[in-house]
Amino acid sequence: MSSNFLVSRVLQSLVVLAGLTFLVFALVRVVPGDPVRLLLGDQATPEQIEQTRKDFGLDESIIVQYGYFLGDIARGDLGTSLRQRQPVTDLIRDALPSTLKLALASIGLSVGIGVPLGILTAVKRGSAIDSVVMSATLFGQALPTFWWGIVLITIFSVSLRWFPTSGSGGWEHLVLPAVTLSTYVLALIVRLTRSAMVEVLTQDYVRTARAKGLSERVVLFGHALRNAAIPIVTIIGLQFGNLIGGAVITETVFAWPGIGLLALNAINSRDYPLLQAIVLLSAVTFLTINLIIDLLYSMLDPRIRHG
Amino acid sequence: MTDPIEQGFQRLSTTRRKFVTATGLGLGLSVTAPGAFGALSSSTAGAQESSELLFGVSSDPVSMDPRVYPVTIGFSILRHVYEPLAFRNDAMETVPVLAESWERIDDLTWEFKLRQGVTFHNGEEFNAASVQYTIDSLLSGENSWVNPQFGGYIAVIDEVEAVDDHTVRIHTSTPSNALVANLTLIGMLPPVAAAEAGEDFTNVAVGTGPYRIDEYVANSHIALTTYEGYWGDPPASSQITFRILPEDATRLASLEAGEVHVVNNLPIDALSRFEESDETQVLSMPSNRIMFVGWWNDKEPFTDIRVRQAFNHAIDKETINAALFGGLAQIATAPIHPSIRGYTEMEPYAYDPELARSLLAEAGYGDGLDIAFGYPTGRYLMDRQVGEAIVGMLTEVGINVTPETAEWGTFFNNRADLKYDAWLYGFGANTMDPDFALQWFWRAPAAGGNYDNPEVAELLAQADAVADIDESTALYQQAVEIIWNDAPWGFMYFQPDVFGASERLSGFAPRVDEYFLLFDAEVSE
Repeated sequence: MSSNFLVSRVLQSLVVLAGLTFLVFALVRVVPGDPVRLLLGDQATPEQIEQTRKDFGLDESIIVQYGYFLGDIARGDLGTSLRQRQPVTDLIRDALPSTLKLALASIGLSVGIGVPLGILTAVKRGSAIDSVVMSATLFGQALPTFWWGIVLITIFSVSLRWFPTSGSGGWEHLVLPAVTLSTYVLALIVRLTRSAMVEVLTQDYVRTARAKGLSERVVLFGHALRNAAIPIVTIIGLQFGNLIGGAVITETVFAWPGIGLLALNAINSRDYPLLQAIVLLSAVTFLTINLIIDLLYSMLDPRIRHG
Repeated sequence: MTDPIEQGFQRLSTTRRKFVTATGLGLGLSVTAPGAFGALSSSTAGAQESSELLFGVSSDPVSMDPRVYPVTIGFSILRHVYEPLAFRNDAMETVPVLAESWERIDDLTWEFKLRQGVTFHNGEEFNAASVQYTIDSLLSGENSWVNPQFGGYIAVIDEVEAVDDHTVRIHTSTPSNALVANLTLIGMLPPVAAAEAGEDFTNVAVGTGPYRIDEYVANSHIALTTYEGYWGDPPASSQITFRILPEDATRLASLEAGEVHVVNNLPIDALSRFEESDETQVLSMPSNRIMFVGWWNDKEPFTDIRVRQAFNHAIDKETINAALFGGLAQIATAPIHPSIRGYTEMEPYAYDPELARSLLAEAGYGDGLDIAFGYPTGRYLMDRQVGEAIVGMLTEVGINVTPETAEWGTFFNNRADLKYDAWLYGFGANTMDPDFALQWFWRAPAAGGNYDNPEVAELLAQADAVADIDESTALYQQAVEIIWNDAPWGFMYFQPDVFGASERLSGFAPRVDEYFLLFDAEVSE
């Protein structure tokens, strides 16, 4: 990998990011609703509304507001939440660890189970195991998160009392939300791993490797999986990016105090600065992960040369 | 006994704000440094676990500074921490809290004798300066983090004069009987710590209440512990944890799994499940929150009283109450709740679709009337269902209804932007004072649909001003009668406040003013 590639990819990401700031800024303002009216309620006088709008800088033109927004970002200031009246960076810093924990647990679960299952079903293609797992993944991808979360709570918290219904804390709090969240991703990874492996396993070099007398283990993990890894790594990265943006439904169902709940509250109260910051965080995560995946490609597959 | 789930809960390892307040250590030490975050040790449940009360609450109170976000749930939770000068007892009578007594000494002046020997959780003494600081901080307009709604409650105040350390005179711009009731919404703050912290006071959060805040993790929980230096009787439970559980199904599951002892906003469709179970009970009471169909009284077709009467006769309140609330709501017999001063029992507009149709015909709308009707989703108890029922009932009498439903933020804006001709709305008079409860009929008319009757405005202004309370009450009664007969709203019902609780919970009951107060609540073994 040349350093030119790295530099150009980083520059590209920065250009995308600049465009994104405007998109983010505009998007949150397109949502119908007025944060000032919502905050001041029914008894507010027109003068109070006007004054508060002024205090929040919402009386300026959109372009001027955008200018301030960019200036603030450059100084590392993402503004103050209109509802909580606390720095947005503090609110995100408080919520991010919860979301990270949940995202890592779900991705860990999905990859830890999904990749081996994908390999197994690819190797045992057409077998009973394959059919059962493939049907299960179809089911897993079709389950509505909200409903699935409630079902898990009803069975494992209310009836069996194995895990707490909700809240964050020890590992036992993590189990149900992580399972809920990873069900879809797990199913996706199984299916993707299986199809990638199936494709690779029919390649000449795999036949050659087997003909050389390499053990099945080396063939599978050393040759086949490595070549099948690119789509798998891509999807893992993208799903992780998704989860950092906040698993709104899962976090709401399980009262998990992460970015998703923060985002939901920000949307409900039209808290522009907070919402902007969360969308921006999500976008930056996505861009960063994409960048890392791009860089990983060339390590995984030397044929992909960037120059 | 603490079960493993609770123990797990106490081992929370997310970042959090931990409130370190120590009585008698002096101000410098007792105030948490703003921004002192990080993984901290478990909360101090250990010694008194047996009297911990866990409350599953449906939304986050947003701030621990009582000046930031006026919302019913926040008022209730923070009432355990901050105390007003006066408050209402269970019978809704105004009783002393931080003031020992008060008196209206002339038209524009109220004098309050303050309770002595009261300290804030950080050791600061409560005195006249606290009252001055608290009220000034709401009215000065200089504190950007203070929500103007709080200043609005006490806008009538001109000046707070400290006569001595424990006597204050509050001077008002106009004579106001409602002042004491409005002050029940204002929790007193420690001037030194609060002024020093500014907008970071949410991280300091010390009041004079029987509980101090041990920990607040946004969207997760608020842990309260008894304040040893409390001036009054110690509360029944030594700890209260409010767990924030926004999703109805999860909140109910937490109650069923025994993780919390009581939950608010019990959905009506879950009533029988919790009533029939041996382990749970349902606690319910019609609150003072009146639900009504609003419309623009100054716009066609509602300028015609026959149309307003027709709408009132078209809505079948009894059926809505029976079918959607299991009979727990209370049909409105006045624009204010019977427990508010000035209430006069009026004859409800009977459900009579025939009469409604003929009234509409008389008003010239016999061939139909087009109405855009808006109703929110997720704001009031059963709001979507009530909205749908109203649409059906209006259609029944020949009104051509275009239903529009939206989440609160959009609904609120659409209504203010005149996008609906009529809408479903609710109003809770949390001070239980007639001046507050009737303000949408004169002082803040936009929210009530621009009802404008100079006679009513005059009566209401006088009623708040006259010093003689009986005279004031009679004036309110006159106004209530006129308003009811003018039919400026489609009067419906008082919304029930419904809680689900463990059978083991005692000492807790819902209140008409929608507060949930846990001072006497405890859980038996």
